Amino acid sequence: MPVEFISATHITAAPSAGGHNLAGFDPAYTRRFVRLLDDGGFDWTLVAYGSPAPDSLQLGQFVAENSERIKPIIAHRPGFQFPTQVAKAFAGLDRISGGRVGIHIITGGSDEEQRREGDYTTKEERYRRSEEFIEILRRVWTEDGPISHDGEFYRFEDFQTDVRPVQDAIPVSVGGSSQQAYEVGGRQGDIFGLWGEPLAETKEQIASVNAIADAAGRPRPRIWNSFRPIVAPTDELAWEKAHAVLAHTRALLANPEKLDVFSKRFLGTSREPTNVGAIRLRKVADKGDLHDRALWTPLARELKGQGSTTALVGSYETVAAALVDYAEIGCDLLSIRGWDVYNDAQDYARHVLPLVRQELAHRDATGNAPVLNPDSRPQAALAGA
Amino acid sequence: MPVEFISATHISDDHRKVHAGFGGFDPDYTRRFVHALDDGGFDWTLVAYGSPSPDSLQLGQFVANNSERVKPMIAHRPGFQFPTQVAKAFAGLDRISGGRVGIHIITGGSDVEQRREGDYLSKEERYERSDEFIQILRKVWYEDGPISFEGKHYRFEDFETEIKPVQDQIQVSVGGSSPEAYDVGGRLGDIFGLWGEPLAETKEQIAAVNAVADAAGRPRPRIWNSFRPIVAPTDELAWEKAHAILARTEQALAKAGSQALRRFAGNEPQNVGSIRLRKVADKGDLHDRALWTPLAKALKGGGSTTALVGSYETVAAALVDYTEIGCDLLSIRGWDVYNDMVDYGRHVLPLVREELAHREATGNAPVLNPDSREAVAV
Repeated sequence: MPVEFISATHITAAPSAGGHNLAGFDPAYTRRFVRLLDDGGFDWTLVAYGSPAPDSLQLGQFVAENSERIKPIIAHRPGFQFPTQVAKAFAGLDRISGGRVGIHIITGGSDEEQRREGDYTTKEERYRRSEEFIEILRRVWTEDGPISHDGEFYRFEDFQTDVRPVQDAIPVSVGGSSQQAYEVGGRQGDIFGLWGEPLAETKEQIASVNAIADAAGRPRPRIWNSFRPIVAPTDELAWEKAHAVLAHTRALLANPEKLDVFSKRFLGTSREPTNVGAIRLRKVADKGDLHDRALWTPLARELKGQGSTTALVGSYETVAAALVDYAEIGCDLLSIRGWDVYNDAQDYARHVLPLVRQELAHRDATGNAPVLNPDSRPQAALAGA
Repeated sequence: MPVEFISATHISDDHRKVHAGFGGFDPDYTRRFVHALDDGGFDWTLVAYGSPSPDSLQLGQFVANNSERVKPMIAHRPGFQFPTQVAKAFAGLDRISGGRVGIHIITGGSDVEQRREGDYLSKEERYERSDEFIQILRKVWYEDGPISFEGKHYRFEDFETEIKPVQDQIQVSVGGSSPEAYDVGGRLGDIFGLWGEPLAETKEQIAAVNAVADAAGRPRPRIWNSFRPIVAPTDELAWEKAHAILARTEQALAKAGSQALRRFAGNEPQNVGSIRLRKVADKGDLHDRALWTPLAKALKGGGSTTALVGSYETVAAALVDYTEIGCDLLSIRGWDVYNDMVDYGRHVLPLVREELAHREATGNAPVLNPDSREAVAV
């Protein structure tokens, strides 16, 4: 399967620490953003979720209705809505969108965040619940006739619907970096989502997920890897930009009381995140600022590893080459979103996506001879600027 | 407030089913249906919900995205999704639709139907839960700052969002005919929904809801009343049509294993609204000017099943009768759902609106069907 590009769906132009652009919801801005993604050649767009964010299924339909080809992959946290309803919502939206929907299961790494909407389970329980949830989704989507279920978390009797997806199988993505995440993802995921770590650490994680899938005798999930590239026409300009983004982020974080609700929720507390993904990112950041060709981690450190926060810094060619490096170790879903989110998405679409696609097509046609940036060297000198 | 017309949102062109227009989900058909409602002058369209049907919030946005003015009134059953999420979904959709969204709370009259998706509470508990649920919705929509809640059915801590509705007051409708429904609706509803009963019985129900609202010291809910009109250019033609629909419905129901009936109606629905409709139907076929109940009897009172039968003028006059006793949300959906809706928009809505405008301008002199007498079933 060819590499596919994922963006996030941003919903407001209001500035935010960490450039999530998820506070409030401006339909007119969102419409423009989605059209940009559609025109720019992105394949998927992540509709994120957190307790302050809009309902992701509502936003998911809004994305689908304002685009022609891009596929919304909709984040969903099990535990807040019964699975038959969620299954019907995705099936209905799959019909509305002409078969463009995916679901990204987020199990929830923070007890505090879960309680904001009323979920009081432990993390271990949540992973078991996610697995039961995914099994029910697939039954509702594919089985004929009435369904009953009696599990640890869900019970229902004699459910039946004729609201069906148009896709043969709505792709189910699972994310996380804990052993439980690997297990649920390896056993149930069509896609497994990671945050951008160095190549060696990423390979380890992929191997863990694949081992579970192999043991379960099912196809290995496709790997989705997330970065926050900082690009410019030259490496020098990109590094200038990177240091400016870092300074800007620090300035915003220095005034936590002025943060928007979304930033406050995830960044405005003194508490350290406890999810394994965030702990891993900070560990990588503690080892050094620059990894491999262009992976830069000071922003992840500032933002406490909360979400996808590692950058790829460099010219369009350097960042494209870095993305190709990840494609070579098996990441064929490349998620990139920026810091100045609208303009960055436009730059990626114009300059980065075509380079990656051309390079991979060339390697495919010629038997793997690299053309892009063949003599590229690590960017250490520039990074230290 | 002027009278507003409500239709149902039909999603499938499947006339083989007893409950025409609700099986499966055909987006192209639904889009055409919604366009026609928008053009036909309907003010609201109910997005219904039952365990087999599509997610009503997804369908609600689809309605909004494919219309300019009709307002989706989205049925929601508390108990299957946590209230903060539901509140954000409605607030987001209110933004997307430019302030056109309403919510119709259905508490659920059937234990069997609730269990199909995993709700095992008793009916009394469900009404308590609906009460808490509505309070939380309004807190999320209209309070600033973090919210915590600790009730019997819901608990959460330190929730905050910037996703707010554009409307000052998203309309919350409550339906039902039991004392619990009157109680929750009278205390919390902006709108109270009834199924079409004769004028006298309807007045009784309105009085029961109003008594609760008055005791709670809050504005009386607007009353929404639902009918399934059968109209034609003349009374004679309408009655012909009515008998044909009844024959067709009875035929469909006689088929063994009618799944639609099993799913939607069960054998004898035990919710008070259905019991009341069956009781009215047992008293006689025709009530007041044009209310005809044999279809309600055949369908065991499962949902809005009473017809208003007659010429456009007769049915318009019957609807005006209900506005006179305080029903200013008139819900009409048909049996041949697409064609009936087009007929209502062309012939019935304008007559009702003209008549009410005339009465207002002239101080209540009736023009429409001034010598109307109780119709006699042909």
